[in-house]
Amino acid sequence: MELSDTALVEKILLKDSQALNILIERYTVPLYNFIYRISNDAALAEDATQETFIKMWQRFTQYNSAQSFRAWLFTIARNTATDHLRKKKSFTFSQLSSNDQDFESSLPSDHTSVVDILDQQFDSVFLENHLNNLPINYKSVLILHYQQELTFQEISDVLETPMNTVKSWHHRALSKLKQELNQ
Amino acid sequence: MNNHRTLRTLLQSEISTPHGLAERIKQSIYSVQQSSGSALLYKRLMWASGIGTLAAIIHLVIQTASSGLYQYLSLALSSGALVNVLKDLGIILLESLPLASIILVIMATFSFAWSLKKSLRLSHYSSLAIQ
Repeated sequence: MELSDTALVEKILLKDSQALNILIERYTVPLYNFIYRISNDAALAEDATQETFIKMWQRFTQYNSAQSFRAWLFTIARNTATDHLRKKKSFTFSQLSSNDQDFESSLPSDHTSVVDILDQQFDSVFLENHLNNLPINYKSVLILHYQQELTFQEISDVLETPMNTVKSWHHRALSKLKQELNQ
Repeated sequence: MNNHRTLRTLLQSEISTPHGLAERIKQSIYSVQQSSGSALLYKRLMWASGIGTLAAIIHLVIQTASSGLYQYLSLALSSGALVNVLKDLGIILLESLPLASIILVIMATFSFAWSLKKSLRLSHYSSLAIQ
């Protein structure tokens, strides 16, 4: 039977190195994928993934078992990736936060027309390019929600942003993609 | 021919991870674990050496005062015979103080310096490993 993340963390705190290995194997691919998608840089993704795990190991005692381990780990990954991206003088996660409150109030109540973009067929390269051109916050929400299957509440924890803002980023990302892909 | 897919499929697709990445991560954590363990040990050694040095110095001061050296030095300095004082100081120290105390101070000082150097080097390696 597969042990839960919380059970593994408890074992790690009791100096069980096997549990640490299981946790590393479980999260290497998801973390690498997340960081690669938001940075679009393989070398950066590899370094930041490695650094995320080292920070995770160093901060285990700070982890509160009441919160989602996955969200906690992705928060470390997101912060680590941000640091690396800042060093590259790239985008920052806070770049788009200034006018989100205004956007929230303009959100339509029905999201169906935007969400339908998810299941339309497009050319792969064309689709990939448009996804890569999205602002980093938007990409993060889409990847965490659709690939890592995190809830909006968990994404809100990871991005350290109010849940309504996360929902607005999600809506904006899909709107922007729909607009560009249908042009 | 174009390869078509949906946005949902693209978002759910996995990017191939570099070969052996998980193993490299395990190794790097192991290295940091080792460094942290050693750094902690040397930190404790450093504290022990520091306390040892302090204790030895206090011991020497007490010995000096009780052996009459203090009175001799006060008298010699007040009479202005500074050169003679300095000349005699080494001999008096060796004669009046227990050899064990002098050896203890020398050993503790060397141990303290060595532990400090080792700790600094380890913390430097730890920061490199994280980078």
